[in-house]
Amino acid sequence: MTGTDAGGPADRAGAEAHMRARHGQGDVSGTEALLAAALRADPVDAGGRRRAVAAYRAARDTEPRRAARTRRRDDWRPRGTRRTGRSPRTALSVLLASATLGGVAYAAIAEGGSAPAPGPDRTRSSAPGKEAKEDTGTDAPTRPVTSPAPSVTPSGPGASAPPGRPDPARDTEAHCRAYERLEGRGKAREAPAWQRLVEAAGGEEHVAAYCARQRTAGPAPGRSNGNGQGNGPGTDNGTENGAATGNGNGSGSGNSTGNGNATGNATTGNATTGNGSDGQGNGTSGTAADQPPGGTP
Amino acid sequence: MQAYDGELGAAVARAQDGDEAAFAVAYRLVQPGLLGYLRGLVGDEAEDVAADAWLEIARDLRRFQGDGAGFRGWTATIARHRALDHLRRRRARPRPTALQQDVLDLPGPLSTHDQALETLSTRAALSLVASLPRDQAEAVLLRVVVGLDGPAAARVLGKRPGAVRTATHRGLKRLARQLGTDAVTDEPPGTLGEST
Repeated sequence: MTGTDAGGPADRAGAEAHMRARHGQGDVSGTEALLAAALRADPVDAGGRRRAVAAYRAARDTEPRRAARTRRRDDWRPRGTRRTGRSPRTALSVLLASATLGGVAYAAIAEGGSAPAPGPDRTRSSAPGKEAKEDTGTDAPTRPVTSPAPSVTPSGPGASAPPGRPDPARDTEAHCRAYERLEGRGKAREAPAWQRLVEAAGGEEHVAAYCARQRTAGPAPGRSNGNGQGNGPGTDNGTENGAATGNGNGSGSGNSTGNGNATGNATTGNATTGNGSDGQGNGTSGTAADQPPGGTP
Repeated sequence: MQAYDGELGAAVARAQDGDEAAFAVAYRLVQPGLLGYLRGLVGDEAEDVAADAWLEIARDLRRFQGDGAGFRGWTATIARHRALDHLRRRRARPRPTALQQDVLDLPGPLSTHDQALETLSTRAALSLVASLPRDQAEAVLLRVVVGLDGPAAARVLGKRPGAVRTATHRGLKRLARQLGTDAVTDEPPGTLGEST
C-alpha cells in the first residue's frame, strides 16, 4: 500500500484537516452515522415483505391462539421487569414444593410405622437450626415417636455403631406406641417394623399383650445395660443390633423417655433386682421380667 | 433507529394479536437493519437469508415478549442463526465470497476520503466492515446497523457484555481511522492506511 501512496502523508494530512473542518465532531459517532447510512440505506424489497406477510398470515391462521409458549430466548423484556415479575412466583412455588414434599415424607414415616428411623437420621444431620425448623413444621402425632431419638444419639458416641437404629428395647417400645396410635389406620400393618413386632409377639393377636408386657418391663433394661432384648422376644433384634446395644445403653436415655418411668414404677423392684445379674444374665433377667406382666393382663 | 422503537413495539403487539398490517409495519421498520447486518455476515446472499429469518420470525412471533428494542434483538438473533447455518452450508462448497472480492477491489483510503465522507457506498462500507476481525465486525454491525445497545448485542452474540463493548469500540476506532473520521490528533497521519 505504501508503494502506491505516492501522495504520502502530506496529502493525507491535508485531507484529514479538510475533513475535520467539515465534520466538526468527526469522531466515532461520525463513523457510526456514516456506516449506518451506507448499510441501512436499502429500499425494502416489496417481494420480501409480501413473502414475510404471507408467512405471518399462514402462521396466524394455522396455529391455535395459545399454542405458542415463550421460551427463554424469546423473552426480551428489560432485565429489571423480567426478574421482578418472576422471582416472587418462583420463590413461592419452590417453597410450596418443598413444604409439600416434606409433608409427604413425614406422613409416610408416621404411617409406615417404622417410627424410630427418622430420629437418628435427623440427629445425624444434626444441624441444630435445621432441626428446630423441621420441628416447628411437624405435626403433633409424630412427636412422641421422634422425641426419644435425640436422647439416644448423645449417649451413642461409638463411631462404628450403625447409627440407623436405636436400642432394640426402645425400638420395640416405639413400635408398640405406634401400634396403639395407628391401630386400624394407615398402612402400618404392611410395614416391616410391624411385621417384626408381630413376629416378636408370636402372632398378631398377641401384640397387645406383648406390648403391655413390654411396657412394664421396658424401663428396667432401659436403665440397666440396655440389653433389654433379654426379655424374651427380641432374638431377631438382638443379633441384628449386636453392636448397637453396647452404645444404646446411654444412661440418661431411659429416664428421658418419660412414659418409661411412669409405667415402670410398678415393677421397679423387679427390674433392679434383675439388673444385678445383667452382665451376662440377659436370659434370666428376661424371664424374670417376663413373669409379672404375664400375670397382669 | 431507536426513535422508531415506540412505533415498533406497538406494531409488534398488534401483530401478535393478529393484525396483518401491523406486521407489515414491523417488517418495514426492522428489515433495513436486519438486512444490513446480514450483508455483513453473508454478503450478497443476505436477501435469501433474511427471507428465511422472516419465515421463522412470522412463525414464532407469538412466543416473543418485549418491546421494540427487544424485538430488534430477537429478530437479530434469529437472523444470525440463519446466517450461521448458511455459512456452514456454504463452507461445504467453498468459493470466493463477494465480500472477499470486495476487499481486494477496495480503493485505497486516500482516494476515497472525500467521497466516503459524503456518501459511503454500501459496498465500500461492507468491505470496510469485512476487513475487521469477525467479532469486531459483528459487534459494530449490531450496534450501528441494527441499533442494539451493548447488553442486547452481547445476548445476540452469546458473549459477555464487556467483551462485546470492547470489540465494538475497537472496531469503530479502526473504521474511523480508515474512513478518516477519527479526530484523534496525537496519531501521525502516516498510520492511516496501514492498519488494514
